[in-house]
Amino acid sequence: MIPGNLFLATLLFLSGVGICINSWYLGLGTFAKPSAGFLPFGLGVLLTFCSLPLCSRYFLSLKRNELSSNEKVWSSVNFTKVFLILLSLILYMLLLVKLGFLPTAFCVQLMLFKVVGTQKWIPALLQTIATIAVVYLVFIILLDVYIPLFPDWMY
Amino acid sequence: MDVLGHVIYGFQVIFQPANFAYCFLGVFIGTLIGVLPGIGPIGAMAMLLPSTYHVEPVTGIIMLAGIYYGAMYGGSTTSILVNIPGEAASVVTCIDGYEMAKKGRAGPALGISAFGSFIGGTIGIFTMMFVVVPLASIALQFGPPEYFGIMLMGLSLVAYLARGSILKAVIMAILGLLLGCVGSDPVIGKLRFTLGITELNDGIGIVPMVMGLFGISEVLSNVERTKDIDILKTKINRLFPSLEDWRRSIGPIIRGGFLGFALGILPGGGSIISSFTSYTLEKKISTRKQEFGRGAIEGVAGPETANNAAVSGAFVPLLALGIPPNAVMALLLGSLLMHGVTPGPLFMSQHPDVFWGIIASMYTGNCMLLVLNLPLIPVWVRLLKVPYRILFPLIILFCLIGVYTVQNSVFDIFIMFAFGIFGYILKKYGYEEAPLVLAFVLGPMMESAFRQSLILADGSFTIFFKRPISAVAVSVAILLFASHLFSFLRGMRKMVAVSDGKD
Repeated sequence: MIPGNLFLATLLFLSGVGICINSWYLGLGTFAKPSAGFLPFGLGVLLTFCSLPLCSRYFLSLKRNELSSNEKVWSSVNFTKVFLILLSLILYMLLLVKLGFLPTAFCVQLMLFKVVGTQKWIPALLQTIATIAVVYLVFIILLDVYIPLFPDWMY
Repeated sequence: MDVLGHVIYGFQVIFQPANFAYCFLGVFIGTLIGVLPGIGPIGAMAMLLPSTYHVEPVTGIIMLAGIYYGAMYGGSTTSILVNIPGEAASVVTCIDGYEMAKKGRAGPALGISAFGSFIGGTIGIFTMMFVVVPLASIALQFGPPEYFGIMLMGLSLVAYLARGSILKAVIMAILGLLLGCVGSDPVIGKLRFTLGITELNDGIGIVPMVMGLFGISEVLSNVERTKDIDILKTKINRLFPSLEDWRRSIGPIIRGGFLGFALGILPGGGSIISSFTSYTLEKKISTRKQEFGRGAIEGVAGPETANNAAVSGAFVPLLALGIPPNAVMALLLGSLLMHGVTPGPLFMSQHPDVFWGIIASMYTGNCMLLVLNLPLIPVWVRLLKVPYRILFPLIILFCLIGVYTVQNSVFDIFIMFAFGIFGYILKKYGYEEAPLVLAFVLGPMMESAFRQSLILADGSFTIFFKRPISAVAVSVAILLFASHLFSFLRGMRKMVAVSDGKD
């Protein structure tokens, strides 16, 4: 398996190359009249140029079996929690407009408190209600921001 | 109108009820953010940015600025009582502040930190007033090459002063500039890197990006923490430092004030560098060197003063030149632009209410913070006991509302989501987000200045070396970049040599 930092450096290197190609198609113009792709092309070259030494360094470290310690960065990660937090954001993206803020926030926050925060049902419920109440008070009442509270069909 | 007249006008602005209330709200939220580990001022400012759309620009900016300097005050509380800095700028306060608390002197440590912050803030604001006005009038003569040179030097300094690898910071700055290129080209309006997504035609929004990088990624990193915070069980009494404490602290406070202000002006310097430099300076000149690290009050007074004075210093390039020296100021610039206010040499004459209102709000905010921080310390301490498992869903919800309400767009939530994952991975591999954000904000301005300069010079790069200011700035940037590249390549050569030897 490719170590993460080598993978990231390689990705940056390839992104640099990709940006150069894309910028070329955008049109570079001339020095006297630079076009839309001029600066991105230069930045793409710089990104490629700067990520190359990183790739080489990690590749050399890999060759010398030194990258194992770098991979410890993931050892303390609770992937289930990370996944659930990301899932909560996906749920907000999917449901916020369809269901409205209050029902969506209630479901998602309850999931976060109960599952990710590993709380019992009653505290999780109370904290969910309190959280939504705080947000409602601060943003909707005090700061007067607009957010759809319920689904459209309820209006 | 002379400076005094302008200051009086500024106070007329800040004492309008809405401005005063928002100033209080800002410093209160700032202190709260500073106290609570897990979210910084930049995340909080981004979250609350949409709430400022409904108010006058000056009112909104006063609140956002209040969050920034308020967080500097709040950050010291956790450093002293928990040995965890609420803010990166308060890291150095942990060293002697926590030691003082362990010896039963938490009260004087918190007290001198609050008084020092107040004095530092005041020194900073006074100095700022007398620096910004002449600098802005000089900047009226700047053209695109000067602006490009200063921005390039700023970015190079930010990368050079990065906490981790400089090369990684440079890469982050390049990525930030590239992300700033997404959307329509600033000169001819051609669409770039939008991947056919219409929401990207206007570019990536700064709020979802900052919220993802500093809010969501921070939650993802902190959720790994299994242990709740242990607060030192000590009695907090005698918040007012004794005469002996004052005698020992007054020198570090005054030095910290001026040093912090000067370093705050420098791009990438900001509060972190100034607090570390102040600590090092105090340790070096102190006659009680052996006490440093064991609870020397000078080790709290100097850095805490310096980090607050640095906040005022950071406003100088933003207000006078329109160039943010750090990521927080970049966000503030973004919010000023969203309100249709362009900081720079003409800022004072075009928007005197905003300019002098911000300055007067900093005086007022510093007084509010002194009142908030001394008697309310027990309240802040109690807040520290709130476990992270309760805080993080609240942070996520605040981020979500903050992002969504910018344009009522679900796509912005997606951008936040993507940058959240990106920021989390970057953190894991030691890439800093601050240069990316700063470069992202500076990107379009830099590109315009760069292309205009080349058009002016008919394609000749010598234009950057013909004018003294741009020549110095570009040369500094090149030297910084080259010096690091050489040391990196030297390190690589050693590595290859060792590797070959092994083979």
